[in-house]
Amino acid sequence: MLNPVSVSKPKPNPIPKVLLQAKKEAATQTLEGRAAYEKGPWDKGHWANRK
Amino acid sequence: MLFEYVFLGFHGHATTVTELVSTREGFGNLFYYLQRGLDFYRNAVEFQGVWKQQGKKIANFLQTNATLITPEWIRFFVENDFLVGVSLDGPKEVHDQVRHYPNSKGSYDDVMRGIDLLRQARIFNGIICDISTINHLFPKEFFNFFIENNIKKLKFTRVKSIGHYNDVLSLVISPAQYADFMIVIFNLWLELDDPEVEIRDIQSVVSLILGGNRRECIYMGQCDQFVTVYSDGSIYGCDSFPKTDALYFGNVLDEQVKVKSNARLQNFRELLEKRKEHCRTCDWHFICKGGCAKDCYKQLDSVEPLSEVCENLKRYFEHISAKIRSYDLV
Repeated sequence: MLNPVSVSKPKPNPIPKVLLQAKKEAATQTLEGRAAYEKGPWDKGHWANRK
Repeated sequence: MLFEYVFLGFHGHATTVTELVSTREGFGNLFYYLQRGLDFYRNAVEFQGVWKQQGKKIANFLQTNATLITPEWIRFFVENDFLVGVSLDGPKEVHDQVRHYPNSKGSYDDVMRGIDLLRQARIFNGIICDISTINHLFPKEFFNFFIENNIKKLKFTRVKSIGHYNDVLSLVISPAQYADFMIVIFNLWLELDDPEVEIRDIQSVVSLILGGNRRECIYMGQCDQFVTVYSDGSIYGCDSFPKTDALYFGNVLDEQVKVKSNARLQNFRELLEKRKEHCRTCDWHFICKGGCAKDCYKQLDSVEPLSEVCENLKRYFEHISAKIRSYDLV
């Protein structure tokens, strides 16, 4: 009789933190709309210096 | 609201600042290119004070090569809440090839000294790195260079010839070369997985694919909201079109209603709408909204975008989208 072979399932890649953060931010932006835009990262210069 | 973002380009006078702010109803995002002495900015801030007292919210941003930043400048920036971005084109051996003094001495060491001063004062707003024929084949080296130097707010731009600097045609890369570069940068950003690393173009695309609404200007489809003001107060369109007659919208001393009804401004807005309409059925319209008025079109009056630009933007968007979908995030 053959011994049972244990087959381990490959672990799915964990979702990168940068994408989880982006997903969370996207949800917040959708909920708060323009208000979030005006009070948000602009004030910290996040998207500020375009050129 | 007349314009969202105002670039004070070239040799703007401080007095134009107060006129600009006076035409705005609420929030004013003022971007300066650092080309004047400190007195200019002191005057500008003083003029702004009048409007701030009336409740207007004004944000000052400045883009510089940082070579002449001194403790005195730093004190001024800190006291007046300026955020300062720096132009840095990568490691010394590359940067010094394209950003050097008239005597051919490279500016890298001075730029890094300026960045250190800004960083110590916590007003450093990241770097803009031009991608050209000199560096486009080295995305990994560039990415690692910035991370190793703890520079984590990044923006990569494709060198373009817009006619008001020295001849840069030999440095201009194709849309395909730029897309190749950005795709590797995206992969490296994902692999590093450091939430402190901000790459604005990539994060715009990621945000939009995930249902957000934060956009770089090139994905807004609102090029009419970006203007440049010159020393005589004249208002032109985005500074990618320096002093282009078809985008002369008036003067900061004009009545607001006159600027709003300016025929060239109306024509430009109609053109942008036509472009958006033309692209409406594209799967990626929700991201690019017709794209950058400068980069995506052969001529200012073109309605149909350049196919080479579109193809490579789509390739870039598809790459990012596929990666996000692989994690079941959309």
